[in-house]
Amino acid sequence: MERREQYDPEDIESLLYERSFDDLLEEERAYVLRHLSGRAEYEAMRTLLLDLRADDAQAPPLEPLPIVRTNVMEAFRAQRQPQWRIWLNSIGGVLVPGELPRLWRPALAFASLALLVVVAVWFIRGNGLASGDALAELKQKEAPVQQAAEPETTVDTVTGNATSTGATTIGPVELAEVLDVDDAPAEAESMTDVHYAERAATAEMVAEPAEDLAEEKVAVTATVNVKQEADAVSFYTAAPAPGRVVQLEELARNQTVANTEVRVASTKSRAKMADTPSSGRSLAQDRELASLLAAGW
Amino acid sequence: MALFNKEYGNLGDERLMELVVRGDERAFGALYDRYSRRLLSYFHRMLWNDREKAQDYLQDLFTKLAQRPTSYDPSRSFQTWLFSVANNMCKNAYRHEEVVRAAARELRHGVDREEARDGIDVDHERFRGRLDQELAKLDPDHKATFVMRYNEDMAIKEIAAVFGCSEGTVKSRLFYTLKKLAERMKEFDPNALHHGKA
Repeated sequence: MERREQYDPEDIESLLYERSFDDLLEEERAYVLRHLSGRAEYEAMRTLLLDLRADDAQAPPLEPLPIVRTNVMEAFRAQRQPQWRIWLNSIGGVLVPGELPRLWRPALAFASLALLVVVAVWFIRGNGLASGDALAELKQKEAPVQQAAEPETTVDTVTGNATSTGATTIGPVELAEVLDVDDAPAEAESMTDVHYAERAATAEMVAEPAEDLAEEKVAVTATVNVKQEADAVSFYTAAPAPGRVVQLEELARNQTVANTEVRVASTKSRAKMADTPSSGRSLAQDRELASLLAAGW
Repeated sequence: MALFNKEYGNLGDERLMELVVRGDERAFGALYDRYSRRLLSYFHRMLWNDREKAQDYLQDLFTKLAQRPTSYDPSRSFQTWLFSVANNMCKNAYRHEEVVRAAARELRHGVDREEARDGIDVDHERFRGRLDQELAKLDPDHKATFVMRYNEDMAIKEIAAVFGCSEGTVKSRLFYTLKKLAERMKEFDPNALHHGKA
């Protein structure tokens, strides 16, 4: 046991390097013979080790190729290089190409294309301005707005006779509604006031010429004496004067008025819903139906 | 510049690896200069004395190190870690080329046996060729242990760290590998070899 603790295979290795079998001490030889078969095996192993050492000494040293180091260092640099530097390098390669003389043809082509685009844009914009001048409608729209004061005074006189609800500057369409609202409860009046305020701007924008307003005023005064149920129908179904061209603004105003009428009518219907028993409905007597028809129209 | 190089040369492997992880190119170059020859020799021994293959594997190994320096475990010795990576690369090479090499090995083995049987003009070149053939027949771990010990002069402790085994296992492997090789190569006349060297 003591000998096993003193020697191990690594010690045999040192013995193989240092001494031949004949030079071993008795104790060492006994230890070797416990692991090896005999002298021949010991000498063979010793020879192999010595030959390995001699072979390493005599063998020409292997040298790494310089290109290997270059490649490895480049790989390291590429890995360590920040991404933004790579991005900048690519941009630099585009902006400052190495072969400038070869780029004059594409540069000339791109410049010509850019010039054509600029000329085309300039030409189209020039034509657009010329055609804009021909659109007299734009200027004609502003003229009635300046004359809007004239119908206002007319309206004021009419409303003064009709009611005292405070609706003043909204034109004949509002007048009809004011007349309608005249008999309605106070709640409905407040609702219509709100609608008047909302439509004030619209009325200014779609101010009618004085002639149109006069015609509509006549129609309104005529309908004042008719029953309240037929007011809306007679107003909206009144045919325009012969030869009169319905303009886009007028159509828009009518649409707005129709929508407002629906709201007013619905308010009235809600107010009267409790009083009026449910029975057969006739177009002439049912204001709600008339309003719906007007809205559909 | 020479001063800086000298300073890098004095730094330990682990300290150099810390610098490499931070992106120090000179530290990486110092590590390459320190280990490239040894690893090239190791690859050469392990990969059938193929010099070109050894150069390729050396480049691959340091390229991996350059691309992923954080894969190094600082708690380990850099040398043992590096050789363990190299050993794994060799094992992969064995798996890929085992079939092809087997045929070529058998062919060369037959020729060399006839020459050895003549027993004349035994030189170191033939000895090395024969030894490589016998090493190729060994288990890859035993072969790597043998090469690390007798070609790279690595300590038993370092080899044990490379393979992650005990020192006793390494000693046992070395002893029985040496015994097996000596038995297979006993037709070489020891006296002739020693006379040749002298």
